[in-house]
Formats: sequence, C-alpha cells, structure tokens
Amino acid sequence: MKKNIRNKGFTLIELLVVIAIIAILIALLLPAVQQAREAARRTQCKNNMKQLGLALHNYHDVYKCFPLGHQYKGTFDGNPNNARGGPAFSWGWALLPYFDQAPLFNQFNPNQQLAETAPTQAGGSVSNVQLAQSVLPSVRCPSDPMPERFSDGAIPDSATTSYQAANSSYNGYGGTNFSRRNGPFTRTTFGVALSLRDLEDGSTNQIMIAETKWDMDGSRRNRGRFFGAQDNNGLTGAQGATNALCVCGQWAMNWTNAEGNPQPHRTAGSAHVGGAQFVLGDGSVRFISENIQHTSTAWINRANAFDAPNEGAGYGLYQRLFSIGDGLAIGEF
Amino acid sequence: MYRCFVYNACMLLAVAGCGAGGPDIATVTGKVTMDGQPLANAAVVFVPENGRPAGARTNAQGEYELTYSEGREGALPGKNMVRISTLSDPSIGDDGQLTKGSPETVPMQYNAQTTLSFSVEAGAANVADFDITSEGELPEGEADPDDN
Repeated sequence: MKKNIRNKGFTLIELLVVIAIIAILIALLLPAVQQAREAARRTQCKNNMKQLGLALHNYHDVYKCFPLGHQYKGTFDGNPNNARGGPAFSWGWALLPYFDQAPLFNQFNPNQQLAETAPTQAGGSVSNVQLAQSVLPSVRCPSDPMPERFSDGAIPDSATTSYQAANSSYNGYGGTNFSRRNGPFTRTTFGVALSLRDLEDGSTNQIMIAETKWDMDGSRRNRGRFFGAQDNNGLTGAQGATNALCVCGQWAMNWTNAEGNPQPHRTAGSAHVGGAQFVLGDGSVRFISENIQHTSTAWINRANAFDAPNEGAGYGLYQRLFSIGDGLAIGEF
Repeated sequence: MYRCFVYNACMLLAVAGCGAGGPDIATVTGKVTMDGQPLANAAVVFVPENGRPAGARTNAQGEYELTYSEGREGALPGKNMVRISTLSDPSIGDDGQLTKGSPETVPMQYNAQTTLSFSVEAGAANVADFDITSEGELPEGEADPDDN
C-alpha cells in the first residue's frame, strides 16, 4: 500500500497558472461576446429599416407617391380652412399594410382623429387611441433601451419608435419660408405627397427615414412615435407634434442638449457607437458616421438656403442628403 | 506569473488602441457675459466651415467647455461661426409631465443671424470669451405654437 502522493496531484503553482490562463482567456473573450451581441442588434435594426424602405417603395408602386409626413390640415377643430386640425396620422401608419401589418391598419378608422377615444365603429370595442398604443417590435431598434409606451400630447401611453422620417435640412416644421422646409416628408399644410421623380438629387443621395435615439439627455426625450402624434389641445385634431414623426438635418447626429443642442428631439442619432443608420430613397440602408461633413451656415442668409453662389460651401454633405433638389454634388459618404 | 504580465500588457494596449476615432480637435473653454453679467444655461455652438459642430451649455458663472462628440472635448480647428442662444424647447420628463422651455433672450445677431466667429488653433488650449449686449432684435419664428 505504498504510494507516492507527490507524483499523483498538481502543485499549487501549477493550479494557479492554469486558473490564471483560463481567467485571461475568458477576459479576452467577454468583450468580443458583447461586441457580437451589439453587432447582431445593429443588423436587426438595419433589417427593420430595410423593411420600411421596401414598404415605402411598395406604397409608391400602388399610389405613385410617398406617404404624407403628418396629416395636419383638416376639419376636427371645426374650421376646414385652418392650417391644422387634421387627423394627425403619420407616414408610418400609412406604410402599415406594406410590412405585413394590414390587420392592424384595417382596425384604425382614418375618418376619426388619432386621439379619438370613442370606438372606431358603432358597437366596436377598440378606439384609435388604443390602437396607437400597439407596440410593434419591428419599428424599434433593439440596441435602444427605451420604454415601449410613453404618454405624449393627446395620446396617453403612445407606442414609441426609433425611426422618424426626414423633414428638412433646417430646423422648423412651420412657417412660410419654403426653402427652409426642403425634405421629402412634410405636413399636409405645406405641400402634396412627393414621388420618386421629386427626388431630384437622385434617390441614392436622399435620406428618407432616420434612426433616432430615445434618451438624448436625462430629461429631454426623443419623441419618436409611429402611428401619429398631436399635442394636447382638447381633441381638436392635429396641432404641433410633427417632431414626434419627423427629424431635421440642422443638428449633428447624437448631439445632446447638455452639449448645446436646443432641439435634441429633432435630431437623428442611435445607440450604435459613432453614427446612425438611414434609409435612402432607393430603399437601401446605410450607416453614416457622426463625423460626416456638416455645415448649415447657409441659412444665415435666408434667401440663399443652399449657398448656391458659393457652390454650396456653406451647405454640408449631411444637409445635402436631407434636402431634395438642392442641385449640389454629393461625394463619398 | 510572468505570462500573466505579458497578457495583461497586451490587453491594456488593445484597450488603449480602441480610443474614440474622428478628426483632430482642440479644446475650447471660455466665458459668456451679456451686458457684463454672466449668461447662464445658454447654448454655445461652434459651427466650422466644414465638419461637425461642437457645443456646450454655460454654467451659472457663464463658463463653458465645448464637446465635439460623446467623450471628446473640443472643436474643429479653423474658423468657426459662433451661435449663442438661450432658447430651449419644452420637454417631457420621466413622469410624463411637460416642463416649460426657456425663451430666447439673446438678440439675433448672436444666433440666427450671427456675426460672431472664432478661430480655433490646432494643438492649443483655446480660450474664447464673448461679451455680448442685449441690444438688438430677437430672432423670429421660433415661438410659433405650430413649429414643433
């Protein structure tokens, strides 16, 4: 029964070395796993946006135009000539049947305003407001930890989204200066729906839908809503809230309020590092760096939105991608 | 244990190599006064002729330090157009309550129609102090209730 214990086991040093090597290998692997997860989420987000891009084109095939940005003009405030008072539905609501959401689309009653709390049909059990609380995972970026619903204006517990349409290269949704409102999606008040031929710079050089980030700051939410939006004005139809549906190109991506951005909820951005994803007019989805050439100095001279006399020197590449028909060349991006 | 050190050193190098990318920037700090008084909670925005703008908000003493992008302090070198504005939109907090925004108190020659500019020097710690006056027209249009 004589045995040599020393030769059978490992020494303490040997064990420690093995454990140390295993620990190092795990430490090397963990960040890679996290990055792979973020890459997967980014790809899923890109796929969500691709579906919206395809939906835009399928919509265009049927109606020969793109949907309206915000159904703003109308009669719910009692005055058919008023610039506001419309049903407040959005471009996203109009696209529903074109990405497999026709059953949801058919439940809405477009003859009522979105904030209507009465049933959509006599004897029905569901109202437009309740439908506006429907959470669609396919319009939410999986990287962005935002609430599924958040009260907004006239619509309590309104379903949120990460994707907003391109309104203009400059800030502002109202006003009468049309060179300032130059993007593909606008309010009914300010124009008709555009079609592919209106994308004069070429559909490849036109941002249609931008990704947005929910928490641009602790207290200043990005308002992103999908089905529509209206401010709380006693159920008299659309008023304001276009910034819940459309974003502008005036402010650089991911630029927060604390860093001096007065309108972070009108700004594109994402939870992906270094930029955001955009649906272009040809239906493709591109990740654009937040360091893209960006200069909106042309607006200092209000008669000269695109800085044409200086060949667009005061009008940046990011702005050129937002505006239709600026007539300026677009390089690599 | 020596192997341990080698691995750790390699990992540190790898992490250090993952610093924020982007163009070279230079730090910019300064102070904003209006009619001699510090201007608090104002947005100071540097718009370069070619590239991403940088911005900051002033503290109670009117002091600011520009941020270029997340985690990077500074602004692009070269001539920058400067905008100073106290306008901020209403916001909705965690509780769903609307907080009122702040009105514009800075005349339009410092924001919408700005005449201010500053040349940021590369590789230097720039100091940009602005002493502005409240005389002049306020920018129009932004108070429109439909403009949101």
